[in-house]
Amino acid sequence: MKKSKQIISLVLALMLCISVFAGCDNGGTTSSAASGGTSAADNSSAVDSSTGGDESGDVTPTGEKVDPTAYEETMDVTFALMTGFTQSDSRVEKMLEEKYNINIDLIVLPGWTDGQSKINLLMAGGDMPDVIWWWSMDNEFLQWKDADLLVDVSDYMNTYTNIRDYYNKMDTKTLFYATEDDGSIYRIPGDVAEPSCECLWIRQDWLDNLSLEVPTTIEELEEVMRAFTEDDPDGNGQNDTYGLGGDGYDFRTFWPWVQSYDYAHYDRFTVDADGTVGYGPANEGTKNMLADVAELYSKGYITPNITQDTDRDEEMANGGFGVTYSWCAYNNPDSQTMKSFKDANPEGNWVPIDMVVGANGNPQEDPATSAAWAYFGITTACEDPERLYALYDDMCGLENYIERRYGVEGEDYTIEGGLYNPIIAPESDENNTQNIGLNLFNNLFNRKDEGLIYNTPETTALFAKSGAASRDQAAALVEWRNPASLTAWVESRTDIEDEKNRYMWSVVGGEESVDSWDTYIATLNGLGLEDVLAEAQEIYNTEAGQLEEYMNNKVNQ
Amino acid sequence: MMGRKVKGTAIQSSVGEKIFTVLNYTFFIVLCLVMLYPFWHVIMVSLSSPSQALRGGIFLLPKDFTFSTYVSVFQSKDIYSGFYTTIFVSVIGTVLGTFLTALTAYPLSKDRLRGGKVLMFLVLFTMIFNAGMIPNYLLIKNIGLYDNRFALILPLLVSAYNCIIMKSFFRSIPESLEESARIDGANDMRIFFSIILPLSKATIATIALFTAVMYWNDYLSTVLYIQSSDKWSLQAVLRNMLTNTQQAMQSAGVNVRAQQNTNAETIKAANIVVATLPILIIYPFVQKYFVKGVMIGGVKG
Repeated sequence: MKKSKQIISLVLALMLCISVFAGCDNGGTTSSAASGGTSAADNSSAVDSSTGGDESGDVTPTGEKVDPTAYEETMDVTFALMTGFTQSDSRVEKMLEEKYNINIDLIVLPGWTDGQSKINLLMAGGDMPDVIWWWSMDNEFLQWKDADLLVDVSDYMNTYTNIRDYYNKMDTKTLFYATEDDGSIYRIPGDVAEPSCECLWIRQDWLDNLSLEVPTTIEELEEVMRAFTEDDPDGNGQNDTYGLGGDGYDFRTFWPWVQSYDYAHYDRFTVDADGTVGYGPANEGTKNMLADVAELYSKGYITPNITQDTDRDEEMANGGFGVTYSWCAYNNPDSQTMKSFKDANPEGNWVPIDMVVGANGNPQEDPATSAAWAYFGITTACEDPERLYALYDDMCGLENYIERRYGVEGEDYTIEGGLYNPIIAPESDENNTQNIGLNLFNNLFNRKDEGLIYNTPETTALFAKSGAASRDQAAALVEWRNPASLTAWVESRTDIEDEKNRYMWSVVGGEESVDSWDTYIATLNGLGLEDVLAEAQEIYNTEAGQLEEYMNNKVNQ
Repeated sequence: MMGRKVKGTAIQSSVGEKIFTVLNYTFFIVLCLVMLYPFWHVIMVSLSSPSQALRGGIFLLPKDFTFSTYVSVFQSKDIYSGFYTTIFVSVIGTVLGTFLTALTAYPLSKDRLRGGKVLMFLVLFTMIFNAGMIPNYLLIKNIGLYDNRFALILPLLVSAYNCIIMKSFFRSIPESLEESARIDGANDMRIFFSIILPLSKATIATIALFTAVMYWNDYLSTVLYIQSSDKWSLQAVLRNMLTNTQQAMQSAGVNVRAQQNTNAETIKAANIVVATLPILIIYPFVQKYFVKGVMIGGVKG
């Protein structure tokens, strides 16, 4: 009996090992995709059999330009998405189905925590959606590309040009980060932040109460922070105000001091005028920034909970501080955060001001990355990629985008004096309860130009000014074309960032000082920073050459 | 006894015992308040206005009292579809699961079952080893259950742990009862339905309760097997609704402003209350079975 049990155990263990390989079989369902990649040229037959061409009759590499609104045959299209409107059969969805003669099926990804797992399952399971959306999945993207699961849309992008033209208008480098070395494009930028989307805010009512001027230098700003903390700016007789507040456990809150020193950064790689790559948290400028912020914190000019992970909107709504570095979008009158603040502080008045001049004499706003943070792609499961790209590009034209995002003017919103007045806002309950569908396909191409109509003209100008004032800083920060290629960084990143966060916040909170900076640098080096920088320099040199070639050859521009 | 005086027929507690009793009650009252307060806070937030809720600072009473949040919640079809799916899955899963668990455990409890030990070993094996997420996903897809509510039921139908609990209980039923029924001409199925099951009501109720709670709380199955948002379970609907989009984006490494505003704090709070209320109503009636279930977990013989 004992021997038979042993034999059974061995057999079961063997079966378990064999079953591990069973999960690797994709069932051949992707074999319908053309091997060696599906490109635009392979689908020319779809063009020949379709009706319609544009009025100009341009002959493109794919043949006649297709008119996505003129197809007689209905096409089923599945979108895997997570943000924006996610209910099926909405008014907007039906409008799009009717316009393009398609059946839209939405696969809703289950949230930020599990969404990437679901995306992996969808791509591995052999039954991919026609359009897949993702974020921060660089390694997986490379695998999908190598496995020919995504369609090269470069030819389509240069034929149907709404998406291409928008990104080139906003930042020509955006498409560089989406383009492969051979000019092909397998991922379409889904959302790219404005060049800079934050600015310095100050309580104008507190300045007026204390008869202070708007600060223009870092020294003046620190003096204003002192006054806001010690001189009772709200006149309630209590010692309950602080100079600086904002998003806790986020160094963006200290941006005025970060930008004050050259090559200081709390997070990203930097590059100096000679092209030498550095790690921002290990640069000398960052040390000076930390010393400044720690001193201000020790004096009590910064809210005590700044070292804890708090909610930015909640902090702003609560008030209690007079200076913050935060979203330009707070300037919009319908900002829920500002409305909450005003309810509790009717006399309170936040105003955006220019960035103050720091030690380096060059005030700069915090630049966003040129690359998208989210992408979407057409998979090889799609029966007609060109038709799908053409119709989606048509949806992204200015007027069509506004209708998809905000609805019909007069029915869902009005424009009065240049100001957007929602009758039904995309984020409102009515949009859900009435199943209207505003903000469908959010982050599968978002416009930040005149298509972003909920920004007031003043807010649009604020974004523009902030963006323009961030270009020098942007030039000093490295943006990687393919972060997954930094293998040493991928390996050491967690340890280095943990140590960086621990040290920097300890200095701010007063548990450590910048006197131990050398020890901190030695620790980072011990965790592999030197190897990381060596590899980063090599990759930067290569990518800088690629960028120059891309810009010179006008690829996808 | 030391420290106690007898006065008349009553035993009076000493001072020390009285102090201990007071401290004891105080401790447990504080503990209860600490446990109850988070839920009270959620109720108060759900009854406050959105702008006040965003500022935080709601403690014991709501600010700008309003029922409008609940009106919005009950107008949203997500919560209804979530409830429908979860109730459908829980009811069918509990009934089927409990019945099949009993059917599985009964023959395993008999020594005369040929290969019984091997089968028992296989059941135990599944408690230790699992194929993992992707093979399970592929299995569900290949048998055509993807995006089907039964994908939320069938994979979790029979639990090895529950099987073992029931098997242990069935073994405690005297063999003589079955023998006398067999003498009277009953076969195994008749014995099972007419004798064994009626004697096992307490155990079956306990297993049913465990199974129901398991189905009610299940979230991962929705993530893996369901595509249409109108088939999401209540837990998935709540999780989607309760995520603070901006914070979740930052946690996921995305440092841009979320274009879509997060759901108002009041909406989140009201949804928590609405989703928790059925459990709160039912629990007092089944509490004793939970307690008994903890005891039944001990394997006997």
